[in-house]
Amino acid sequence: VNGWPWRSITASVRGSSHDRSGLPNQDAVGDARAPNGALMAAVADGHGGRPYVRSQQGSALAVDLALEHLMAAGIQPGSAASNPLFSTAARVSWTWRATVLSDWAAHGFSPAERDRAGVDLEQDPVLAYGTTLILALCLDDVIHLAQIGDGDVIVISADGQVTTPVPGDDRLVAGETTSLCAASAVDDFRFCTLSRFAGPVGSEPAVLLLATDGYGAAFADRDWHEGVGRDLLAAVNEHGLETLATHLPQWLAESARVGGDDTSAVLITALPPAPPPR
Amino acid sequence: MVERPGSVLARRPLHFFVIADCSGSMAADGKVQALNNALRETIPHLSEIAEQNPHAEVLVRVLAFSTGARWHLAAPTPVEQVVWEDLTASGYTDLGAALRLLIPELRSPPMQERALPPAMVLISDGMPTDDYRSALGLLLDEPWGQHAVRMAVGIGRDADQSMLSRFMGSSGLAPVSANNPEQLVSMIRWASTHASRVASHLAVAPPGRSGPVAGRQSEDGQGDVW
Repeated sequence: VNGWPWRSITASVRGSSHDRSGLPNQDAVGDARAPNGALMAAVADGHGGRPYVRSQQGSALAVDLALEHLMAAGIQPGSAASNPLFSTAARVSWTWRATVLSDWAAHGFSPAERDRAGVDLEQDPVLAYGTTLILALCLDDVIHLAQIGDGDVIVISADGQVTTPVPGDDRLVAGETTSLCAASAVDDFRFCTLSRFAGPVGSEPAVLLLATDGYGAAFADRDWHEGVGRDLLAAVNEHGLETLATHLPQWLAESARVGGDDTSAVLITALPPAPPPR
Repeated sequence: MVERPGSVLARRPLHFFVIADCSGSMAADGKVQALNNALRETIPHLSEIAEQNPHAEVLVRVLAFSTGARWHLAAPTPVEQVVWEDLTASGYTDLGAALRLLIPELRSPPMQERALPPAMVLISDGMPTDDYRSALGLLLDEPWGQHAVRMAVGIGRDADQSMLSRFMGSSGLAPVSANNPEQLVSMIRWASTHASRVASHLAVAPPGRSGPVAGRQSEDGQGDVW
């Protein structure tokens, strides 16, 4: 848990289908704080299909690189007019690709990996590391978001309005997703910037949830965002983020058990800690 | 204890489609009765897949094609609730009509975004009598059609193997064949189980040549009826 004003908690749970098949948790999640107080967070979902035999490495690398580059962006003076994540996302994409190619050059695919992949991995070794990525950079007066691939970003204002501000992508259907492993990765990122205090009092973003698609896919209702957002705001207000740190892994575990997929999330808030119980 | 945010959680739908040839040739040599027996015996085994994959809710639908096509079981029905009603055989082999009936069901909606890839098993004893190729092309234009796990079972020696292969696409597997009622049960069961397992992401490797398909084929043709 980081310090005030922006604070965050993270959790990641292996999906029940991976428990049974022996696959590892292919998600990764992380957060960090810059010396100037900027909070940064990233969550990544390594692809689960057969060719993606190193996707857990790909997602972990994506989160590490994202936090590293976000740190550089976070210490620059912020502006709501320009989203520094345009360049951050491009740098993450390039360094991610270069790093996985170096990893493959140093550690070629094993016979077991080739067998499991069912395709000629040497034709496009980057594919094996495929992953999505969601980035958040929370500054004093502005929040920058970037996303490639599926997953969810929910923003809840102090007065309870729930939004999903990152633009959608028509290509994310039938289990298909854009990915850092695609040659078009730099162009496939979607962005948004939220001004923290530009609207009326109460409309300021107070709670953010960044989650891999395993979280949303476990809900029966396709319009699950509203209820989750409303409940999260109430929980943060009533119990404080610090208390929820022990509950978030349990909530994700329930989604991972029912929906079967790896499930990871970052919960971010600028609301003050809950008052101690009387 | 702080309550989990949000509403009800639910298993992810796995739509399982049986696409059954009910043309006149299926009336010969007891083939349609064998098909009914095989499906009646096989479908309950899909509930084992559901038990092994508690994150998946297997929902069964059945398409019958002869002269035209119709839904034999139209509503997505939980596998444990399926009560098999016999198919009857007469008419032509309008596979294209069946695929065209299937296409709207693969769009979102009605397909849920959270669904697992659909599983399809095509069972046929002959050659299509309509333009199935363009219908198959349209089906594969749909994202859920592309990602569906498609298996095919040929009945007897007159089954159109190239059509069955085309339906399956580049899965790395070949259609399976059944030349008597026992093989038909075995092949439909294998194809159905495999499709469901792959669709629920649990089959990490296709069966090899020494796998259950090769092992269950009668290589010398003894016992063949069809």
